[in-house]
Amino acid sequence: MVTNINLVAPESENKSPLTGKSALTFSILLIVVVFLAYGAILYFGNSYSKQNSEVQRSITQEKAKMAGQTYSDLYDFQERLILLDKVTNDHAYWDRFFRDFSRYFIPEVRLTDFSFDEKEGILDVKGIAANFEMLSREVILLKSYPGSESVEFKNSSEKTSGENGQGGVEFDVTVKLNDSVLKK
Amino acid sequence: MVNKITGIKVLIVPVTVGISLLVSILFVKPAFDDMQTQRKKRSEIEKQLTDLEGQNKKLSELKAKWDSMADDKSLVEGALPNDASMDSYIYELNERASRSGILINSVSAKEKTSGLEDYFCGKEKGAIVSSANSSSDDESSGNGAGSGSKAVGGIQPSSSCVKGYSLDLVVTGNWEQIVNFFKYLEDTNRMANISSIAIKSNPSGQPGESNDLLSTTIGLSVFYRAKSEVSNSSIISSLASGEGFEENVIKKLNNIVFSPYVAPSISESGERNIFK
Repeated sequence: MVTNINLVAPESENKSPLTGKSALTFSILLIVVVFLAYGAILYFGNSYSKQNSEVQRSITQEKAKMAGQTYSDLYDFQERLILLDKVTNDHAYWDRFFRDFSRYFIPEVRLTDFSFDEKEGILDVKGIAANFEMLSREVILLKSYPGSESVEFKNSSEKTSGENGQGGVEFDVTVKLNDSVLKK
Repeated sequence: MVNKITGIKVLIVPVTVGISLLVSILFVKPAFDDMQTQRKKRSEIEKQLTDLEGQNKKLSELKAKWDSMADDKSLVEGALPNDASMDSYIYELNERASRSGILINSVSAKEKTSGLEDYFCGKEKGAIVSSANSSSDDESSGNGAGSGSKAVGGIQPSSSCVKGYSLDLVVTGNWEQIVNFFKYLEDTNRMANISSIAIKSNPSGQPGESNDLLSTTIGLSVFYRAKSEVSNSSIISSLASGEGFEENVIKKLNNIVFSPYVAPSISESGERNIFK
């Protein structure tokens, strides 16, 4: 004899998992939720976008204020200062140089020409020495000048004394100066 | 009929879920991403706006400070004027020549078209090709990035350069006067740099004749810079960041222009007239 035991509760046996009404309600609710979510997202998205546009406008205004005429005097002043810094860095102090450099000439030597051009950075010194010995001493002395990078002896020739007895040895020497020697 | 209703009942939920998914994927998700992007962007640009407002505040404080710097402004404008103003510089030179006792024989000025200085508009070797160079004085060399000038190799914008004049000055005086004049040239109100010097003894040119007078030719570079209406971005950002003015330069200028005058003491401590 076979006994059938029905394990399903009698109330659930008749109940369908989703009735037509509830399926429709669920579907409508789902669609409403989706569209509400979409609407909310669009609303916030637009709201952020509007706010962004306003902030962007404020940024443009602030930038225009910064770059405009309001502060142009300040920028001009600052640029002028930066340029003056560079100009003053190239400022040469010749009186101090002459005072220092003149110590490196022995009394038996006097100059007739002295020239300097910043393009070459070379000092061309022409003068008259009492004799060749004094000239060689002078060249040695010039080499010991701390502002000189190199001293080049160009030429020399004996000069006969004139009416006022200013004979001697004419010479031409070039001195390459350090970049810093003329500056403070 | 019953079957049809059952079919709809069976299909309506999956169809709705499917449509919802499709809508979510096609519309909701992109809209959400867009919203997130806008939201992120808002926080970024709000920060940017706050920074800009802060920078403008700093600039406005700096402007208030600048308005009270009358002495410094005139010092700087005197040192690097807006225009060539060679007449006023020559007047200043003449005054200093009188003070040192030398005689000015000749003065000649010509506009400098090239220079060794890296801050000069039209530097010789290199960097800057500026359309402003070939034009008239009213063109500002500081017209910024939009001035039609270009930096070759990206070295230096044309806004950061000066224009200038080469001035050749021939003066006569004795050694003390000449050295004295050089001292006076160093602290003129207007910044000028000596570019060349040539000193000759015996300017009378009579062979054998000896006198104390020296003929001196001095080459000077005198600078000016037209007022710029538009500045370059680096200047704006440096000032806006609150760095302030280059006050060390003002101090340096004060030291140069207002340095106490000490007359050269010739031949007192080993120095001598090297032309004698």
